[in-house]
Amino acid sequence: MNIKDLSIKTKILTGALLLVMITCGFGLLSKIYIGKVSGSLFGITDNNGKSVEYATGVERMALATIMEEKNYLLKEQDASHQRAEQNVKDLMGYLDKVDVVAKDYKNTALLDQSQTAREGTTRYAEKYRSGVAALKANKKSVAEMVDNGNTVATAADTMLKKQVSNYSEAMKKGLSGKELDQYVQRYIITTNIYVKAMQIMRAEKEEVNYKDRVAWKKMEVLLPELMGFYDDLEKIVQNPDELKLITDARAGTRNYTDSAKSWIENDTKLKTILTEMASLGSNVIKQAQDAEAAGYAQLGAARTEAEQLVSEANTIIIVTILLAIVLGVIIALFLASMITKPIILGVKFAESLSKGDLTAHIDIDQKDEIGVLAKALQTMRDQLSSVVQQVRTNSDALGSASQQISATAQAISQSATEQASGVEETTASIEQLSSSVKQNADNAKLTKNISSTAAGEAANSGVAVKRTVEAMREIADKISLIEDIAYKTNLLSLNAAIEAALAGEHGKGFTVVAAEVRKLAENSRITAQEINSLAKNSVKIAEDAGDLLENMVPKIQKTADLVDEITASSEEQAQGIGQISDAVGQLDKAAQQNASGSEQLAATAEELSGQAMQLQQVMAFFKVDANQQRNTSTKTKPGQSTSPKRQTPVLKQYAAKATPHLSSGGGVTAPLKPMSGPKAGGKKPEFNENDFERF
Amino acid sequence: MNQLLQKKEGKTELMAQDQLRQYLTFRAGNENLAISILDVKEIIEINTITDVPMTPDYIRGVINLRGNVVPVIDLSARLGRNSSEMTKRSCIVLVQVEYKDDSQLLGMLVDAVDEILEIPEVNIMPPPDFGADIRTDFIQSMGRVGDAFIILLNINRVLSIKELSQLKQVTDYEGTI
Repeated sequence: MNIKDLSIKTKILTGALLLVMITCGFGLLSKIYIGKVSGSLFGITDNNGKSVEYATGVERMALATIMEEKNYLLKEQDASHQRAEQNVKDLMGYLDKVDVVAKDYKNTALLDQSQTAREGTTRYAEKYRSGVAALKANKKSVAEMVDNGNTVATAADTMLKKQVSNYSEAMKKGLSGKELDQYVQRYIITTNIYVKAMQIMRAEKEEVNYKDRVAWKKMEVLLPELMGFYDDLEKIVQNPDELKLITDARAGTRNYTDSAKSWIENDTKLKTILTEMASLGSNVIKQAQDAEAAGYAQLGAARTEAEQLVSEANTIIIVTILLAIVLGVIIALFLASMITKPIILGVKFAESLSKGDLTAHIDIDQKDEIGVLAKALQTMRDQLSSVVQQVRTNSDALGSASQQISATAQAISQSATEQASGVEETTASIEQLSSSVKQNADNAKLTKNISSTAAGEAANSGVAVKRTVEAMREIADKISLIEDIAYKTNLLSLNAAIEAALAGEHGKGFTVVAAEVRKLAENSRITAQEINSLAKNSVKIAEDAGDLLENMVPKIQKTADLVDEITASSEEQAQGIGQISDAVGQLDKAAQQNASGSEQLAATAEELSGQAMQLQQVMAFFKVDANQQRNTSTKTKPGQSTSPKRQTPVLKQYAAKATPHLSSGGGVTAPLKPMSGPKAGGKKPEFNENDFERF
Repeated sequence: MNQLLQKKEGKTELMAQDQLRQYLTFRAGNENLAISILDVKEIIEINTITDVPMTPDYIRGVINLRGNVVPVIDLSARLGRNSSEMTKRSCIVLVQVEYKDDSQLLGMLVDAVDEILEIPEVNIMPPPDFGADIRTDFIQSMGRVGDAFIILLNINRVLSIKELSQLKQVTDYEGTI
């Protein structure tokens, strides 16, 4: 498949995918280098760092051991000796650790160094132990020598005392000068012996303290001199006791000399051992320092290696970034040119269309979205040119049609005027009707008012009658009081009659009076009763009247309501007639408007024909393919009614793809409708289908 | 006392001659009754009747008549009818009743008094043997007025002696208070 035929989406996606792949590769490379750098860092921390640490430990322990050894030599304490042994053990422990690290990282150089240090340390430890043994032996021989020295000194002392006592005895005996001289001779030699012995003792102490063999050399001179003195003394001594003392002293001196010699020998040996030990110790320290230095050297090497790795990684990363930028730019430029080139062509085509050149061509042979757009533009140009053709023909037809309209409009104007006069007559008769209905409504209103008043008055009458009934009842009550009074009067007359009867002859006249009074009372009672019955009758009549009135009130009220309704309906009639009147008025206006409108129509028709002319001039702006123009003009000639029919088959293919209602359009506007159809709806589905196929 | 009685009788005789036969008519229950005007002391309206406990139904109570205690008898109840109801027309007829050697003032509660009638001797009939609701010994005679008859009561027999003594006791008792 040609790369031009790929859709824009695919092109952009492919470019983006390439960039993503480059970025991924770059990331992978970075990942690898970071792994390497981290490996070398771990080497620094775990291998070299630890080696240095352990070598330092070894050196520290060696120094500590030597220090303890010196301590022991100075103080001769067993605790120091034990500490030294412990330090040796610790040192061995560090060496073991070093071995472990060296084995882990396969560092054979370190392993060899560790081995050498181990051997040196072992040797040093052995030498140290033998040194300790020699020191102890030395101590012992010093003690022996001191002991023998003391014996010599004691012997000298004893001899001196003997000579002093001998001389004192001789002085007491009062011996001759010659004999005394012999005593003095012996005394002097003995004193010499004692002094010599003391000098030797002093030299011995010096030698023990300094061990520099200077005192020892003095001793080597002094000891034969002492022997010489012994010999001198022996020559002048006859006393056997004294001779024995000299012999003992001589034996003691000899012993002392032997022991002193053996100590010196021993001490010399110890010195050798110590010297060896010191050299071995410094050797061990040196080895440890060497190991440390080697560790540091390795640390430096590892750092250099790591730095190199980092710089390498930096270089590669920078190169990759540059590569990605260059590739991205190339891909973007390629894609942009691929997309914009045909669009520029399309723009040129659209510009020529806008200048009215419908003969322009677009030369794009692609199957992507732009290719589809180009085809659509082409179709648009074809449609546009056919429409322009049709507009030209239709504007001609429009000119003649507008003239016909003008004639018709004049006819309409005349008939509208006639209509207006008829409507005016109708208006007058409706106004008469309206006034009579209005009068009816007014009368009905008056009647309603009157009947309302009557209803109110009737209700008032009812109230008045009720009050009358009340008054009558009160009268009846009062009359019954009169009746009571009459009864009481009767009682009085009866009592009077009784009294009169009891009075006998004297009361006869009074009897008559009493009888008269009684009669009067009786009469008034009867009269009161009559009045009472009359009042009761009146009450009944008044009540009847009240009832009748009460019945009458609602009827009057109803009459009033009915009259009210009549009023309302009259008003409605009046309103209705008013509306009719308004409608007729409007009709009148409409008729007049019709007349003026038809005149305007005529004018408009004139204008229309002018505008049709203008339209033809405007349409001349479009340049149409001569071939096509001829094609359309021959087909439009038969008449304007046929032109829509001609258009429809061409458009049907779009209309079928677009909404169905477009295909049913048969009027003059019908061909115009599908114009937007194929672009907006008709072509789109096709594009989408192609698009999907490519994906 | 005898003198007084005789005097009274004489007076009655005198009146009988002069006054012919005058009767006070009244109504008690459904009966139209009458007594001789000479038996009547006074007719009074009802004021307050004080009820007396432990007395028969027909004794309505006592009234204060100018300071005297006077027992009141419900005549309708006494004659075997229902107790009379108090109306505006109800009044008390005071009569003097002979009892042993004494006389007793007594009030009769009646429904209404009508008039004083003069009934000629000719129209006075003896009491019937039977047919009347009341005991015949209460009836002194029957007076004819027009076509109707009026029972003329013998006031001294309306109450028995025993009953009268009871009344006396009531009066005395009341008086002691």
